[in-house]
Amino acid sequence: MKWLLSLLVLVVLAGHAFGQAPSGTLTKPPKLVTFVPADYPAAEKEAGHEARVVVQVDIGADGKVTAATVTTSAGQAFDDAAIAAVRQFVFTPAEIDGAPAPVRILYEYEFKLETKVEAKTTGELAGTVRDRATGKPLAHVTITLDDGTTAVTDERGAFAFPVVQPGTRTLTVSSSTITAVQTQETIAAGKRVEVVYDVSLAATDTGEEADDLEIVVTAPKIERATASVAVAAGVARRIPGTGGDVIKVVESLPGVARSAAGSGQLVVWGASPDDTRVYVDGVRIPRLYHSGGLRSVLAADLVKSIELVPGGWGVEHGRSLGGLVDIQLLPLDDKNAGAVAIDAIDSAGTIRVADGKLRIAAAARRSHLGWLLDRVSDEDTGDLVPIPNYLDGQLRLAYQASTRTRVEIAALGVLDDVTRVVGSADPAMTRSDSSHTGFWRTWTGLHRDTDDGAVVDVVVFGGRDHTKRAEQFGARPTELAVDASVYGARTSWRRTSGRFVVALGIDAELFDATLSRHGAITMPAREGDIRVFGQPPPDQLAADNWNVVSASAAPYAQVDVGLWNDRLHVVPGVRFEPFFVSVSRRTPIAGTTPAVGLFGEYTTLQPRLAARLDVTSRVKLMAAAGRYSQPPQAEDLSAVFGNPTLPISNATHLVAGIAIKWTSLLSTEITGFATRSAELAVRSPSTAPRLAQALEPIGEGAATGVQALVRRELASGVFGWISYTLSRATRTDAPDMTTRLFDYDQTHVLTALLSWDLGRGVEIGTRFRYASGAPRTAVVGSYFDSRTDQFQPMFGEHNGDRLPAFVQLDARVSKRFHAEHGEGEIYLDLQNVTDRENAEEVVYSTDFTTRSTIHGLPILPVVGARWSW
Amino acid sequence: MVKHASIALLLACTACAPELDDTTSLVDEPRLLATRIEPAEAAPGATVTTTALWVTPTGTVVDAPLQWAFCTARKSFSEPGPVAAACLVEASTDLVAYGTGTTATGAVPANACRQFGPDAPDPKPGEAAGRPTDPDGTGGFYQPVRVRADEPDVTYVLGQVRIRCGLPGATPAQATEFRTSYVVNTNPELTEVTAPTTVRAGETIDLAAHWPSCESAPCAGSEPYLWFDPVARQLATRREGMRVSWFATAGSFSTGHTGASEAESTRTSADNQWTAPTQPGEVLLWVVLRDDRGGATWTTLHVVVQ
Repeated sequence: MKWLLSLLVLVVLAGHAFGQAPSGTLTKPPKLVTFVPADYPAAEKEAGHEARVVVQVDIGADGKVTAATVTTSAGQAFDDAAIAAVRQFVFTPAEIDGAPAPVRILYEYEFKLETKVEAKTTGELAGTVRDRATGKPLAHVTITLDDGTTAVTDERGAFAFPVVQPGTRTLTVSSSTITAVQTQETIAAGKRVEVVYDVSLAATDTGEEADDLEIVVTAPKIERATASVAVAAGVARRIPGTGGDVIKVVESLPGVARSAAGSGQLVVWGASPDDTRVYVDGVRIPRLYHSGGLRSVLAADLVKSIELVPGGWGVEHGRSLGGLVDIQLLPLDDKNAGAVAIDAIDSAGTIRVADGKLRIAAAARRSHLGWLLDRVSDEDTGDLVPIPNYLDGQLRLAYQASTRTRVEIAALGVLDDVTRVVGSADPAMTRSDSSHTGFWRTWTGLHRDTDDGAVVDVVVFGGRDHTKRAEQFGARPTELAVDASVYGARTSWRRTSGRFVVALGIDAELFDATLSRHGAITMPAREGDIRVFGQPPPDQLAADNWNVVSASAAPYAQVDVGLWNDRLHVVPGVRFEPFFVSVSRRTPIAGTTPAVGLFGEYTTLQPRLAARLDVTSRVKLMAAAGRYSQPPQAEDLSAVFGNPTLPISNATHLVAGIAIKWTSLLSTEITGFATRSAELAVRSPSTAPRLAQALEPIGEGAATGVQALVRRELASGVFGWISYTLSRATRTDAPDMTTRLFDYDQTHVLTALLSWDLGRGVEIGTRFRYASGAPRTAVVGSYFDSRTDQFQPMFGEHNGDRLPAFVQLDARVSKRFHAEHGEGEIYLDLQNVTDRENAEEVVYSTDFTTRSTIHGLPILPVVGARWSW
Repeated sequence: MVKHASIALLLACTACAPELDDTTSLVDEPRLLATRIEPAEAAPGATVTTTALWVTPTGTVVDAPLQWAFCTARKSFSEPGPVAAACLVEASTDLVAYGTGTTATGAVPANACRQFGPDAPDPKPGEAAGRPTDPDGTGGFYQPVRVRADEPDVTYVLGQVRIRCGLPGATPAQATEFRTSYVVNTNPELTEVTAPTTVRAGETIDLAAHWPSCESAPCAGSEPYLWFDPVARQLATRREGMRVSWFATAGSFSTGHTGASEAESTRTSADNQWTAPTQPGEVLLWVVLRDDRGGATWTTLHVVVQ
């Protein structure tokens, strides 16, 4: 069988071609000059499936495709193929007021099987004319070709020219209710061009000047200048070692250090895990993974893409010194779809339903690993190792008010519960751990492309975070509980004006937390603490409960200035962010003395500058610099355990890179980075710290390195990348102290992965990872504490040692099969194929005379199945 | 490897931990096994007698090669361990020597509650008062004692004298009640250690260490004591947990430590098992009993392996 690709340009979002819009007039529409046919997905072709995929295409002022997203899905395989092809398209630049300008169009791919293609010398043109305001088809509209041929739309608004001479043809669209307007289409021999014209009806009853065919210019998203890596969900799902969890692709991206097994921490460019922020459709969530790091907290089937920005991001985001993970959820379209999946760890289900302009999606996931282990083991395995027990769910309600306006209400909830009890005949060595964490968010989002070409996004969200972690080691308790309410609002307005794209917005967030904590002041450990894995905690006992309200509202502005025929883009921006921090207690509780609170106000000005230069059509240079601020953690503002007067921490990022597009599929990006952070909260080095100053804002951090990404885009069923990061991250705990390695420093991090669709629904993939071992402080001796009857370690140079390097090979095999009502997939995700014993932690004998390592997971096969429709 | 290695394939969160031999119960070289402070809890300036259980493979040493010193150095929060590193260096200005040998007598530094207790430490010139030390889980504060041993190499042992200080963060009424009702700790006593005197080579025998039951303090068993709960901010009565450490010159114990936690404080004994060596001869066993508040005692057993 052969397949036929036809295309349909839906001219919905381009410029005011003939109108008098304040933002300028589209004087020249974009024309497709380089067309790349999409690969017909082998499995779909084999199954005889045909499909239509509508893609929203952002075309830069240089005519290149800057972004492509599916607005009408036909399934993952078709979507991926269409996106891969569209990204390689090249258009002639659109012009607004005579100057090249970026525009957005809708583009429809039709995957069609054909047994025979006859060579034709003429093309076809067909289409639909609709009322732009209501989307309803318009009948009796006359379309006149430049050779005089005419067609009139029927009741469905459809028209057709079965024989059209190839070339650029001018059309006139007219009727009694609209003013005649003209546009151009490019017709190729043997091809069928399908178009949709959304036109505005003349306002004859008001006497206003009649509208005509409008092609609305919408401001493109300001491109992140450097070091940003985005992965589509369809690609991420196929990466070995992730168990089909699209979010876990973050672990394979450049700039991300490998986190210890089971930690689920995200360490980006030498920043502490707490310094990296995660956003879902603009809403901040507290963490990316469930406890243990096995699964992300979001349903894979509702994720559109994952973007990691390790540094140098723009002014629209703040309150973070480290990286940024931006997860875009799948826009809800008019398709009914669903999926269920199950493997050894959990089971999940997703459903999407559309009814006219109303779209609903729901997803839920529940772990069953503990339940499974209870049935294969005659002992309570959970008493030996912490077995994650989690639940998450999402509910989204979207209303497509018009082609330009979309409203969404959504909610997301996550629960984690991990408990473990380890008994011992020695009362000092019995231990129990429990962790109960959860959060929920609900938000309302509005997206609107306005008549004047501006793009407005508003997101208002609220939610709760709950964390309670308790540990009992012998008679030594440690407990931290945090209950917080989180509220936020994010508004942005973006508009193109000539060679400028202006973005303005406000990013506000309020965090109201009630905390309680007791245990030793050095537990739980923080970055920089010298410790030995598994060692009993100190036996000191302190306690505190306090409340923290932290708020900031940051207006920001940035401008993308296109210079040198749009080859150079300079993006200056500034974020003005006053922080307000209120702490309920300035000093520790003392008898009946009433608590005296503390209120701090810190104003920050965070300038940021980015630039990118298209040296050639294939080579791009990029650079960015910026200032970043972050409020103190609520946990650090205790008068007993921390310091209520901790100020804002600050960081400076410097980023420079080069991107080379060797072919339409193969690219390389190399980025150098240097970050400096200051006013970091560290434990007081004083032997007589002042009251309520157990932490002091005197720490400094630095990270320097270079990262490289060689990437092959998905085509012919093959994709993959090699990412490598060389870096050095250090901390200076006090001005007079020696600089040491950052706890999470990893000199080399290499990830190579490849996925290959063999056809007949069979796909194989492999991932190789190498990472330098994390620093550790070696034990060089010990002494006996006769009161507690325990040996205590004596340490060498702080972080002067390292764990052995981590090396692991993962593999994935999957088989997809089609049925009448859907598509199934079974897969085997094989982690640590070589069964290598990777050292995860250093452990010592009781008296510290013998040293060994805890090894990571052995070879681990995870079998899963997925059914989607 | 963990004993559940067979199911590790299913565990996405299981790591493989090595078994590290715990040989601390085997006395195969000169060692200090315990220290006993008399009285078990003393006020700053009071005189205390510290005694070490110094043993060798041939028996308990009466005249141990030990040097005793109080350490006056505070540790910072960024410094690991229970005591400042300055206490563990050979020549330190923070050490106040007070005796040598198995037993030594000295006066607890008068500023112990300021350095290691709930009283604010001396401020630096021009600065506000510093942060007091936090109590341990029993509400206690401790004056560090550095014990230097010369055999077989120079090693250091940390001893800690429980000091009687005030009650931090309490109301005046609570402080008054605590001052009048708190009974200072008493060192525990081993009433009996049940063990056969003769065993066969390789035989496993049951052992049990007994201490007296205790209705009210002071007593030599699991004492009740008044405690200020820093979480509830109330005075409460708790009981000491008891921990038994087992040592031998040969053979092996089922576990090196047993005992009764606070929740099991009605118990007055702790069991263990010892497997005799395969070589006949006399074996020395030491049993050390500690309470939660820093009190300690010990006894020695002689077992003939036939």
